[in-house]
Amino acid sequence: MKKLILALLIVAVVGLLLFGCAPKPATPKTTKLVSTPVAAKEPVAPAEEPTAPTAEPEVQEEPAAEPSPAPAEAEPATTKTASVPVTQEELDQLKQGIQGIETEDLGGLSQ
Amino acid sequence: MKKMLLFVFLASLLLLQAVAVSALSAGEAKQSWLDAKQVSKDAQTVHQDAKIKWAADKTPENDKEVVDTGKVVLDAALDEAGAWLVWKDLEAEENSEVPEDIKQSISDDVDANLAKVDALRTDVSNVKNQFELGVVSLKMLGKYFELVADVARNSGKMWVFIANTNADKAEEYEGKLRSAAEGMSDSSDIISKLDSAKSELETARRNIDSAASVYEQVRIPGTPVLKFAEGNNYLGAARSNLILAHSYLNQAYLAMVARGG
Repeated sequence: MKKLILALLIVAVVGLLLFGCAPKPATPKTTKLVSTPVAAKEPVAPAEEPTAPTAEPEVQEEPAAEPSPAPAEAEPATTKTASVPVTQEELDQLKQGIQGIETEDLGGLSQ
Repeated sequence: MKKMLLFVFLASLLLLQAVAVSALSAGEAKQSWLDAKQVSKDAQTVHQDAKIKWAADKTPENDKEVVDTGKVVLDAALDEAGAWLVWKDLEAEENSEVPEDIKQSISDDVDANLAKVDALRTDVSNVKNQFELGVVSLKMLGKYFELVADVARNSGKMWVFIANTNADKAEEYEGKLRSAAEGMSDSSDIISKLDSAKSELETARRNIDSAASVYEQVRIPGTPVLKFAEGNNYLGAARSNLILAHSYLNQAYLAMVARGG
């Protein structure tokens, strides 16, 4: 009985040590950046789709208008002003959030 | 004494497994899934070759090879499904934007389905001949999509939530920029860009709503894989709409800043 308790204690201590040293999870996936710009008037395909889905959505609306090239870079505003109530930083964060949307096709599983 | 040693060994194995899983990141888990998928594909090729060999020469050795390679195929398929489940769990867990209830729901489903994977593994390991291999294969065919349907549905809900959160933010910025632009003189070009952004956002919302509706249909009985792919398509289109909307918002913003906004 004593040996069993001793063994349990050893296992518990080893466990605590291992858990204490376990690496932290990686950074959230939403911060992953995709640098390529979106082609005008064509929805971008999901980042990785192992197999083409057999069922197409009925409604696939095209983007409304072709975006013109971005004007020359202006000095980024980090604080809101009375006339421009949004900052470049906020817009950049929004872009990161959108680019973090990533789905994975289940059809990729072997059947 | 032997029992105690066995107990300690098993307990240590469990601990090590828990540590290994806790140390895995979503990115690594995704790679594990992709690796498992490749292994599964390779195993299928080997099994097909064994079947061809057996068809040409029905010796007991060739028969055994068909059974053995068939078991490897089934095990590989279970590995693949298990790896996919673990990845989806970590993906939700690591994402700070995902509400706790969705995380918990995915985690519970993953645990339940990993247990089903283990049960199926026992069936596979008990296979002794080609007849049993066929029976277990048929059983797995029926069970396979059950393993992933619940998690796929909840994973879809998670991405719908994230897409809606980003759309909310984009709409908020569009509204703020529009109010500011309307107070500027000769701002028709800026308003035009904001109109384009608004139009893209409206389309994005429709696509997100469609995705949500389709993900809800990822259930057994039904065609969960097809519905999941369909939902992913809608969400992919919504992502493109949101990226375009962001592009228009950014252009409007830069135009306002250039005018000394």
